[in-house]
Amino acid sequence: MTTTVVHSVGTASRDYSTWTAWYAAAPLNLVTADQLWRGEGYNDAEFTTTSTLITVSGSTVTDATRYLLMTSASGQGYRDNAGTSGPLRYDATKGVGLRWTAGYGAIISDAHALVVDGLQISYDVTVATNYPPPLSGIRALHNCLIESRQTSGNFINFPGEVVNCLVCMRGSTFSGTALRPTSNSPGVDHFIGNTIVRPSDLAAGGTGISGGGDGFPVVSDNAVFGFTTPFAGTIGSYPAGSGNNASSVASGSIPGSANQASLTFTAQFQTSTDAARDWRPTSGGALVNNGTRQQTYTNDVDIMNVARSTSTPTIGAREYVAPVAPAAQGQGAGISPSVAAAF
Amino acid sequence: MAEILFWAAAQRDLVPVRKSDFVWTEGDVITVQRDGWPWGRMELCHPLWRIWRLKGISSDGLQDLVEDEVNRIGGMTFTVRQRVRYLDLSSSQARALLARGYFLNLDDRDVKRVLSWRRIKQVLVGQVG
Repeated sequence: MTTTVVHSVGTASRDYSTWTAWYAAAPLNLVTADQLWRGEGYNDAEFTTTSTLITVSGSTVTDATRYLLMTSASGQGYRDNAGTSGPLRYDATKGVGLRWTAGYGAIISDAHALVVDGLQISYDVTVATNYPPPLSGIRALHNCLIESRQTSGNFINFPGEVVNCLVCMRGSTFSGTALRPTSNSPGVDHFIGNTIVRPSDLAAGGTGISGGGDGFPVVSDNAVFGFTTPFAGTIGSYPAGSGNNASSVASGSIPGSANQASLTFTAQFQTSTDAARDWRPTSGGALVNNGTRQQTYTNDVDIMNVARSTSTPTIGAREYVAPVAPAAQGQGAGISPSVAAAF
Repeated sequence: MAEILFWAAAQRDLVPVRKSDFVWTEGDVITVQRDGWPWGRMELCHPLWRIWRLKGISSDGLQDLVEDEVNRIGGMTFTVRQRVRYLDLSSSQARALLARGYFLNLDDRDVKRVLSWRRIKQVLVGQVG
């Protein structure tokens, strides 16, 4: 029976003060040790770094049930604190956040043994990052708020799964790729239910999801906006299972069927400009009710742990939640009109 | 001042997947932090780790100790192993410091010694340049 070994990570008398030390303490062979090595971040302070947090480099032997897991402790993540009516974007005051603050390099590199779930990650420097990519080789990214201000290069490189994530490319210019699948592995990588965007007031550029020589991932229920090429490579080569994606380009440039094409970017999100960005879907947008159920990957919840529709989920990381009407006077406290208006 | 957390002995339970060089080795620095860093409970008592406070040294000046070794091939970058450099802890002075405890405040003389123990790791056999 696999033992889940939980350690706290934070700077207020936790087990480890850095993710690097948490990883360094893990057994080299988690299969032999029969352990799932789980790090639970505490938002004692934002985790900032100018050097690579984790380079697993294949040293840790893992399998499907015994691996490294970075997540937030109960009550410490943005899922616990951001609230469903708040803007959907990186905000370290709302939950555990990891931010790269200077220079050039990888936040997480060659981490095939690592799953990241429910964290915020920001590559907060305007640099051209040809290599190494800031996030490389991670086995799975689930329910993460991820932003980058890089101007070129790949951002998330060779992930196995990217599910329910917001990926926002905020560089003043951008000529790179937000998500690049594992090389020569068609159908192995799954990018499901993500919002992959570049703010509408920044010049369109780069690629949202790449295909081609890099392999072709299964892409489903992704909202991809603001890129010159939302989906790169021969569209017909994307594997079966792709579809129900949304973008501003024509239908022939989006993989799979049942896509939402030729959409107006700014009409799909609460605020699509950089400074005030809020990537929650709008009520009248085409993302709502046009997804397909992906319970195997999403467990029928969205990035905020809000239940998704089991019949017609919203495309993208965030499920559309209809505002609750304010209660009539004398009938109890509803949410304020200003909050309701934000939906 | 800076504080370093490092391996005083090589990582154990060795079952390397591809290359033994991926594991942490003696003298590898795990992290460099500012003076007064709030170390975690496990960091302060790990049997194979030590923490040294280096008087008069900025954390920026020690970042070379936490750089990983990478190879660039055809425009691609691959991580080869943890850390390009390490602290050579083979001297009697180093062994004496390690024996003094988990957390040490080093004086000027010892800081100079520690800085002189920085080494670049040998090139891996079969490494493509």
